[in-house]
Amino acid sequence: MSDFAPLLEAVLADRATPEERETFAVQIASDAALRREYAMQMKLHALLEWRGGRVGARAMGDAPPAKNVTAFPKQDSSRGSWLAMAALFAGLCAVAALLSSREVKHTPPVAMEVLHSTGVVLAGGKGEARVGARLALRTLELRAGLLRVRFDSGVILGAEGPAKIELLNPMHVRVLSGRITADAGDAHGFTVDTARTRVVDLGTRFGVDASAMGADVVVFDGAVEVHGRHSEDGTPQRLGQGEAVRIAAAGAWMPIMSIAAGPEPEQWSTGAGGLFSAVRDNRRTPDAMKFYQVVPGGLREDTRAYVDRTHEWNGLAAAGLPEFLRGADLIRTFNDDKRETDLEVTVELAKPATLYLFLDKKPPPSWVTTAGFADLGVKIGLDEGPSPNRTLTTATAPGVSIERVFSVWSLEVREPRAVKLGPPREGPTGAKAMYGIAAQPLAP
Amino acid sequence: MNIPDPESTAHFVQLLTGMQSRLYAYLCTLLARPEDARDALQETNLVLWKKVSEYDPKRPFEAWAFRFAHFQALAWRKRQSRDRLVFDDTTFEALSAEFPSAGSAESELRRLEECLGKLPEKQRALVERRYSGGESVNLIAEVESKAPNAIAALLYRARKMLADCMGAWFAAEGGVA
Repeated sequence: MSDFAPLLEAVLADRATPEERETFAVQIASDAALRREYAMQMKLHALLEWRGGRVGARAMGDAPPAKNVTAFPKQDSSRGSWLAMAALFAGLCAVAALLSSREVKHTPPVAMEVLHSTGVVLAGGKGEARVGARLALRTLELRAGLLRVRFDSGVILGAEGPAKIELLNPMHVRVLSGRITADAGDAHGFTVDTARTRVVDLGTRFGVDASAMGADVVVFDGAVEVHGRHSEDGTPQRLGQGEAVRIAAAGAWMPIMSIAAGPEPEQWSTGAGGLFSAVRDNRRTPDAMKFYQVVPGGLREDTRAYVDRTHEWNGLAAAGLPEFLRGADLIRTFNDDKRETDLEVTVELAKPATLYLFLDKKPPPSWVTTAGFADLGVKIGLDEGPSPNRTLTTATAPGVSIERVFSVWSLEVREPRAVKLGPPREGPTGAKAMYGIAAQPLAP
Repeated sequence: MNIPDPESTAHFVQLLTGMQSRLYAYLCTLLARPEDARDALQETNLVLWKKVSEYDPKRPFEAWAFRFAHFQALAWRKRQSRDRLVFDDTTFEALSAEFPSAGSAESELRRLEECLGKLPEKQRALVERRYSGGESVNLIAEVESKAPNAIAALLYRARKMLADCMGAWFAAEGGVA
């Protein structure tokens, strides 16, 4: 097993060299016992991938974050194939509607105003969804495009097709398939059902992604209550800002280590994206629910700096952020980690890249220079919002309302690999804010 | 089911949805590339959907669906260049014949959940990181300051323990034709 295990792992991860693959194939072909061992290992691997809800997600490859986490529909480069899969999905949706509760047929339609509409195709000839239009629907079936509406309750609901949502009333929806993002504002009690769970808003912005494999619940602001059908004691779990959970079809609750964000609030997905293929740390246990946020191309003026604060990155002067940083892939870290002295954050780069760190104090922790980071002599600012001890507000322009200055450090990572970053401080004094992480592609 | 009516179509979709994990495991085993298995699964679903009117509900759905998955895997192999194929024809057929086609995907996944609960905490955490967190072996190795091969061996052992625990669910109950 000592040689076979790493060989099998290389095959599973599709990173085996041709020679390794040949060796693997010869071993399986010539040894019946090893063939059974392989079949058993591969079957477990496949079932665990399925259980983890990762099969459909990865099948989307480099497609935009928007996706339906199911193995059925996949956009293919072949239009014919895509249409065929769309037809299949439409059929499944029709059946799902047939199987769903009849309650929706007896409820009045929910009135809404269209706030945003890009490439929207509504099923069933429900009319055009132009910005400013008023719609009254019992079911919102979005075949394609990105739609954001405001119910008369004040709740803002966004979805990207394909998605199917039953609208029970202006404060209660049921997601049959697809991903929604809800901004309930002050309308506490807005409820989102899926086949696996019920999410009740406590004044927040949150997302739900429902598929045959389960449901992901992600909280961007505020807090929600998550009711799991299979939770141990039946009590709802509270999720706060920067927390997420995956509820698998079999009922298990699983952590979501990172969320990738797109240009629009609705365009989030679990996992990483862009230059970063993964991010994790040594602090969060498997039961923890905090997630890092990966934002491909996300480093812009006034972009959020942390998952757990509303602080924003800005240029120090009116000229804004340095040119070389604009549009960099950004990882939003946890500012609550700023005093940790044993934190290790590991980021995995999918492509050659320049990795940037934003550090608020000099000298930096010793691991920064040991790892090879160099001070570029460039600084950016942090515009701080409210925090547990301060009541600040953010502004929307560079060079305004800057509370803290960060120096920019860089490391060239010429091969895709994991890079381990250390704690923000190494003793009782040091950093007063958690560092920021960003990356730009390295020219070949 | 000559003319698919909504109710029998709904039943068909339930059957098809309910065995996705088993079809995926089967295709992974035959193709040895999970990425390719995902594509082959989509193609299999598409073919099954087109054949919905030919399905005779008196016959076992699993065997019927597995047969089409087998054909799709064969078709997939034919379209690939030789250097992309992992197994030769003989090994491919042997793996197919040995794969247990009978059994319920739902009970299999439920049993997997129970067995995960019985894994020692360290192994369970590792499995969750790899499969739920989506962390690569290299990333876990970097975080844990261990060699990737050591992590691969730990995962191998964890999967073996799960297979032992699942027992009957993994016994060959008859291969795929």
